[in-house]
Order: sequence, then C-alpha cells, then structure tokens
Amino acid sequence: MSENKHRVSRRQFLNYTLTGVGGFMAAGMLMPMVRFAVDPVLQPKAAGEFVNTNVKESDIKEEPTRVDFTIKQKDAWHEAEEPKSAWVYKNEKGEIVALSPICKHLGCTVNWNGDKSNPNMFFCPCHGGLYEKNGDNVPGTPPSAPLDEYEYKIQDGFLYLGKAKPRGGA
Amino acid sequence: MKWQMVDIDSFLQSREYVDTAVVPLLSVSFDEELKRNASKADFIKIVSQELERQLKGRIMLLPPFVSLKNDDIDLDKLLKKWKDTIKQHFQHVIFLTCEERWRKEGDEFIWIPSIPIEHMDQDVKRKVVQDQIEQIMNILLQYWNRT
Repeated sequence: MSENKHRVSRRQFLNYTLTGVGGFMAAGMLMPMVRFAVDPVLQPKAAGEFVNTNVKESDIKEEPTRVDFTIKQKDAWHEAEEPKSAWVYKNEKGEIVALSPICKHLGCTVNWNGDKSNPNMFFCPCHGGLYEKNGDNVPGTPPSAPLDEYEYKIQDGFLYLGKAKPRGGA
Repeated sequence: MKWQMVDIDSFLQSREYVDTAVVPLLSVSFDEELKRNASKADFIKIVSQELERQLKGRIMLLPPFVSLKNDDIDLDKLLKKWKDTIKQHFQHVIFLTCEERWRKEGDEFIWIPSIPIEHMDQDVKRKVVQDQIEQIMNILLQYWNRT
C-alpha cells in the first residue's frame, strides 16, 4: 500500500495539476466578481451621517435663522466640501424645525422675509416662489411641493443636521 | 445652473425660467500681478459658484472668459460678440469681474472688489462671500424687476 501511494500515473498527475491550476484561475476570475457584487454593502454610509452645525440648541429662536454648514462629498476624482444651508427655528410647540432652503421649483435658495410685500414667509428670489413658515408652498406660486425638512439631533447641546427629506405635498 | 452635463438637461427642460447668463471675466499675466490675478481668480470662482448655488433656477453660469493682460486684441469687440451671441438666448447677460479695467464699463458689468480670502477663517470667509452675493443679488433683482 505504501509503495502504491507514491505511484502517481501520468493521467492522475495531469488531472491533479489541471484541476489545481484551473481552480486557481476560476478563483482569480470569480473573486473580483464577488467583491464587486458585495461592494455596495461594504461602503461606509456617508450620506446618513449627521453634521455638527456648531449652533447651540439654546440659541435657536422662533424666528428662522440661516445656518450654514459643509458636508464632505466625494465625486470620482475630487473630494469637495459642499456648502449647505438650513433655515432653523423653533415652532409654537418648541420643537426644532430645520428646513432646506432649496426651492422645489428649480433649486434656488429661498430667503426668510426675502420679499417686503410678503412678510413672514420664505421667498424665492428667482421666480417669486413663496412658502409658509412651516415650509408649505403657497398655491399660485411656481413651487409645487413644500420645502424639504432636515433630520436633526441634539448632541451635547449642539444641533446636528442629517439628510433633507421631502415632506408630503400641500 | 452650470455649464455641465448634469445641469444642461434640466436647463433644456426649463429654458423659459433661466433668463440670465453669468460670465466671469479673468485675466492672466505672469508679471508682478501674478499673485493678485490668481487671488482674483479664486475669489471670482468662489463668488460665482456661490451665486449659482443660490440662484440656480434662474442663472446659467458659463465658463469664464479669460484674456491676457495687456493683450492688444480688441477685447471690447470680442466681449461684445460674446454678449450679442448670448443675448440671443438669454434676456440678461452679466459679466462678473474683479478687474479694474472693466469697472463701470456698462450696465451688464458687475465689478466686485477682490478680497484676499485665502487666509481667512471659514466663518469670516463665508460672511465676506455672502455679503458680496447679497450685493450682486440686489443688482440682479433690479435687472429682473425692470423687465
């Protein structure tokens, strides 16, 4: 038996080698494919992160104030700090509301009290879009949806903002 | 909107709303003004991009018009050609510049003082830029209200 053990026929030898080499080649092809397939799962989720705005919770008033912050954004070959803004205030119930200033019409930045003839409203300088304080669009002006609202959280007394989420239509 | 593919599609869809073209004017030289020119270019770039961000739906930010300092070609004629061409597609054309030579050159030129912001703190920088934006916006609103 022990003598036979060392006897490997030409056919067997070729079988082993080809299976071995073929196996390596198959693995070499399949591994990157599998890696590509699961890659999205392995990516760190940057979008869901909250960003510190350096605004103290106690400083937030009932009058909407503009809060500027930057998020890091990676785009193929360059990494940029994208400037973002939010209109932040406390509503009657004392809850914090952080509205995205991006007009739902064509993406301009809306301003609080931006138009003298429409006080206490968000005004879009581009085409005269109007929004109520709670972000609802005023019918008859170009925008067709209310302003997006940021997810927020309070940590160590500071306001952190997350993603802007669309609210239901008015 | 910017002069880039992602914006062009939405531009084509909503052309009637985008009635203002903004062209930054820059000049290039390698003499003692080199540093100043680079700093101006920085400032104009930041201001024009921020302006575009805030007025995305109504302005189209075109690539900058670059000229050599002390060039002997007839710049005014060339610029006029730009203006006339753009005017066929946009109701308003704005040339945004820090260059003294285009200061008070006409209605469509908006001259802003170049502020060396490269050594400023983030918050101060943002405030300086926002101040400029608000002034430019006021001028733009005047143009828009006129028509």
